[in-house]
Amino acid sequence: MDNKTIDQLLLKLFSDEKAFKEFYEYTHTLVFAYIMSLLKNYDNSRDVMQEVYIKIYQASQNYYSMRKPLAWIYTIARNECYMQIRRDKYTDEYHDNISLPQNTDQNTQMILENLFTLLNEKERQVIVMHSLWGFKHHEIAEFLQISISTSLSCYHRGMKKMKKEMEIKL
Amino acid sequence: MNKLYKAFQTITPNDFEKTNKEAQIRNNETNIYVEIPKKRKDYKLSLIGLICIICIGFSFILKNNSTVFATVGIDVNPSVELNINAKEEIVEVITHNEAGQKIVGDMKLEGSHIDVGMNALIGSMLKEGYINELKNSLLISVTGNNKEENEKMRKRISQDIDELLKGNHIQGAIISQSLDKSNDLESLAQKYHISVGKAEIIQQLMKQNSKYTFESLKDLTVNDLNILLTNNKVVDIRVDGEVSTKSYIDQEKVKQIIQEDSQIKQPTYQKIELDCDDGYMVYEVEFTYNGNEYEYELDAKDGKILKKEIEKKTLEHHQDNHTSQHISQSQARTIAMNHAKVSEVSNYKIEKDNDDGVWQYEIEFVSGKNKYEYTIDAISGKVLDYEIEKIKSVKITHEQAKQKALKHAGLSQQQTRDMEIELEDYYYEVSFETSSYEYEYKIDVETGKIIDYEKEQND
Repeated sequence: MDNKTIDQLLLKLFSDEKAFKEFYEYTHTLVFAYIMSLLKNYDNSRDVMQEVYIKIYQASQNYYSMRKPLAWIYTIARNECYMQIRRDKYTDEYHDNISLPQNTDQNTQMILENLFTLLNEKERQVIVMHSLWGFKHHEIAEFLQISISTSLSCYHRGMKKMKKEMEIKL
Repeated sequence: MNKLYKAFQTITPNDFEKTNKEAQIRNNETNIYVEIPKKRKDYKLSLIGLICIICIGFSFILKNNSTVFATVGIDVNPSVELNINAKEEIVEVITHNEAGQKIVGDMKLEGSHIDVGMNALIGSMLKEGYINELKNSLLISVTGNNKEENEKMRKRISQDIDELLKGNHIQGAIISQSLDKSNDLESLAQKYHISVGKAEIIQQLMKQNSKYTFESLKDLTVNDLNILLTNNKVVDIRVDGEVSTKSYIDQEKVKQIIQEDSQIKQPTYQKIELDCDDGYMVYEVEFTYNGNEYEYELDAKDGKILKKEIEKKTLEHHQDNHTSQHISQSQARTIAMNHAKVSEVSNYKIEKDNDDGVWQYEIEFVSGKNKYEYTIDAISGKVLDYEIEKIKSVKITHEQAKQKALKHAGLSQQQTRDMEIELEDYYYEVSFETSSYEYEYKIDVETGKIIDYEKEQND
C-alpha cells in the first residue's frame, strides 16, 4: 500500500466524494481483513467495516498530512473492533463460525479457514498487519504491546503453520 | 503472501454506496480526533524527562564542570561522541568503533573547548584518509535537552567543519541534526554499538523504506548512508553538499554490464539505483523488454551480478507433467553449479516445487563466502532465476547447529518433534517442539554462538 496516495486521499476525502470512493476501494480489503482477523465472523465484520469508514469520514476533517496514514486508519479500525467485541460480550453472543458468503470459491475458503482455525489470535493479527498492511515488526510490537521478537516469532510460526497445511492439501 | 490478500479481496464486500449515504446522514454528529498509539513507556519517559530537567536545573546552579550538558557526535566511519558541559568543554570522549579509537589515539581532548576538539578530530580523520573526495560524508549530531542551544551548536559546528574541509580542497557532504534526548534511540545505539546520531539516521531510513532493517544498515559507512538518504528522498534530515559515489562503479558501467549479460541493446531502464541489500551496497536495475520484466542486482564495487530475475509476461504452462520428462536432481545440481562456476559446495539443499503449473527445482548451497539460490526449470533445465548473497563464512553445519540448540535446551532429539533447521543470512534458525514447549534458536553460522532463543508454552 502506498502511504503517500492514502495520505493525499485522506486530505481531500471529506469534501470530495470521488476521493472517498477511491480511498474506500483502495483500502477496504486491508481494513476488512484486519476486522475479520479479530472478530472472526463475516457478517459482524461487514457491519463494523461500515462503521469504520464512517468514522474515517468524520475524522478526516481533523486529519493532517502524516507519513504513516495507515497507522491512523489502523487506530480507528481497532477501536471499532474493540467496541464490537465489548458489545458481543454484553449480549452474550458468540460466533463460532466465520460464515463466509456462500459463493466463495474453494481455494479462498481453504486459505481463510486455515487462517482462522490453525492460528491463534496473535499470530493471525501479526500476519495480517505485516503481510497485508505492510507494518514493520517494531511498529506491530508497539501497536499490540508485545516485544519485537514476539512479533517476529508469531509471524514466522504462523506462516509455517499455514504453509505446512497448504502443502499437505495440495 | 499474495494469496492471503487475494483471498480477502474475493470476500471483502464493497458497500461504498451505503457507507457513503450513512456517512452523509451522520455528518456533524461528532468531532473525532484520532490519536495514534505512542510508545508504551510514555509515562516513564516523561518521568525521566522531568528528572532530566531537574538535573539540568541543578547543573546550571552548580555550574558543575563534569555535568554533561550536551553530546556532540561525529560519524564518518570512525564514530566518536563528545560529552560537553555547560561551558562547552569536553568532559568525556566515547569511541564507538576501532576506527574511532584510532582517530582519538592518545589525544587528550578532555578539558578543551568543543571547537578545538572537533578541529583536532577532523584533522586526524583527514590525515588518516577517512575523509577524501571518494568518501566525503560526515554526520554531526548534537543531542541535549536544550533545543535552541543544540540547534545553534549544530549550525556552528557544521559551518566550521565545512570551512575546514574546503581548506583541504574537499567538498564535504555534511549531514547534521540536532536531536532531543530519547531513551529509545539511546538503547538502540547501545545495543548495536553505534552512535545515537547514526541510529537516528537509520531509523529515518527504515521509516522511508520498509525493506531496510537495523541489522543491515548498522555497518554501513556514513557515506553509504548518505547515498541512501539521497536515493530514498529522506527530507527530514539536513544535508549540505553533495554526496560522492565515486567509490562505486558509475551508471554507464552498470548499463554496459547489463547489456552484455542480457544481450539486449539499449533497454529502457525503469530504475538504476544504488541501494543496500543485507549490509552491502548494490545497484538495483529494472527494465522491461518485450513485455518481460528484468531485475538485476549488481555488486556496486566490482559490478558482479548478484541476482537476476526475469518475469515472463505469459507463463508457459506445461500441460504434460510426466515426471519422466523431468531432469534429475543431480542434473539440476550440475546445471546450478556450472552456472555459479563453483566446484565445491556445502549446505546443499534441493527441493522440487510446482509454481503455477511449472515444475522447478529450488536449489540452495554455500560456496566460499556466498550463498547461492537457483530456480531451475525441471523440464528444460533452464536457469529461471538466481541470487547470490554474501554471507559470513559458514563454519557450522546444520547438524552442529542442531546439537548446540538441543544441548542448550537440555533435550535429546528423541524428546523433540518438528525439528526444522534453516540457514538464514548469518544464522541458523533451529526450531522444534516438545509436548509442552516450543523452542526457537538463532545460531551464528560462524561462531556457533546462540544469538537469540525463545521458549514458549505450547498451546
